[in-house]
Amino acid sequence: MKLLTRDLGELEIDEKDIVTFSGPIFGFEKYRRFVFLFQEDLSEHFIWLQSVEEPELCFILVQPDLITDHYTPELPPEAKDLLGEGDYMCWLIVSLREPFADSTVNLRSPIVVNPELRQAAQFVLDGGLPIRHPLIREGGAQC
Amino acid sequence: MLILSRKAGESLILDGGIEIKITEIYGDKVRIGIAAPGSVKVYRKELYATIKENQSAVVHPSAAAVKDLLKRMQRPEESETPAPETPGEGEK
Repeated sequence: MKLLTRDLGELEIDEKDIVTFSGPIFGFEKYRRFVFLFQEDLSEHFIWLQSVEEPELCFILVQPDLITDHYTPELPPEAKDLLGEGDYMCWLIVSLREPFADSTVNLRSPIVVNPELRQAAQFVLDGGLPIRHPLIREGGAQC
Repeated sequence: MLILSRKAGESLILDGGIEIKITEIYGDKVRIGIAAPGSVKVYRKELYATIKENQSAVVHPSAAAVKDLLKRMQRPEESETPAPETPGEGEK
């Protein structure tokens, strides 16, 4: 099927690749179907989370490893009910700001995906993880 | 900030119509009951902060910001035509 995206133009996607948010992205509860898009020639640490239902709804996500060395989120007990059995992948939402160096990532509320079952959810973790953590580590560029 | 002491079972009334009741105190936690009109939205603060942050993350970044990000994301061996793909493969 054809998909109109916010940042990447019109793409051809396979309906099998649509991920369902069994737990919502908070504040966007009515949008449940997304695709994860990445670009081959760009760093695999970043991915675009594009709504299938609303072309203008798009999040830029980053792998936690790129941001911090010790990110071991403890998911709430309901995670298994929402995502099913299997291996999960964790992504963090990037808030791009101007200037770019002010951009942040949300360590507190990761997007967690079960790639096999194509189920995803956002969780708000306990503990003092920051909602706004610098995207760029001090000391310069990272990728 | 107004700070009051309450015991389990006691309440506060806010703005004439919202009741906040301490229903239980156990260990380092309290259980709170809130009775409010349907128009009043109640969030745990961290959830509220997450909603706000999600909303700021989808604000359409300027073309310059996305371009800057793309530039920083470039691998050394960059190619000309980005080929979008779907996830799942590659990451697992």
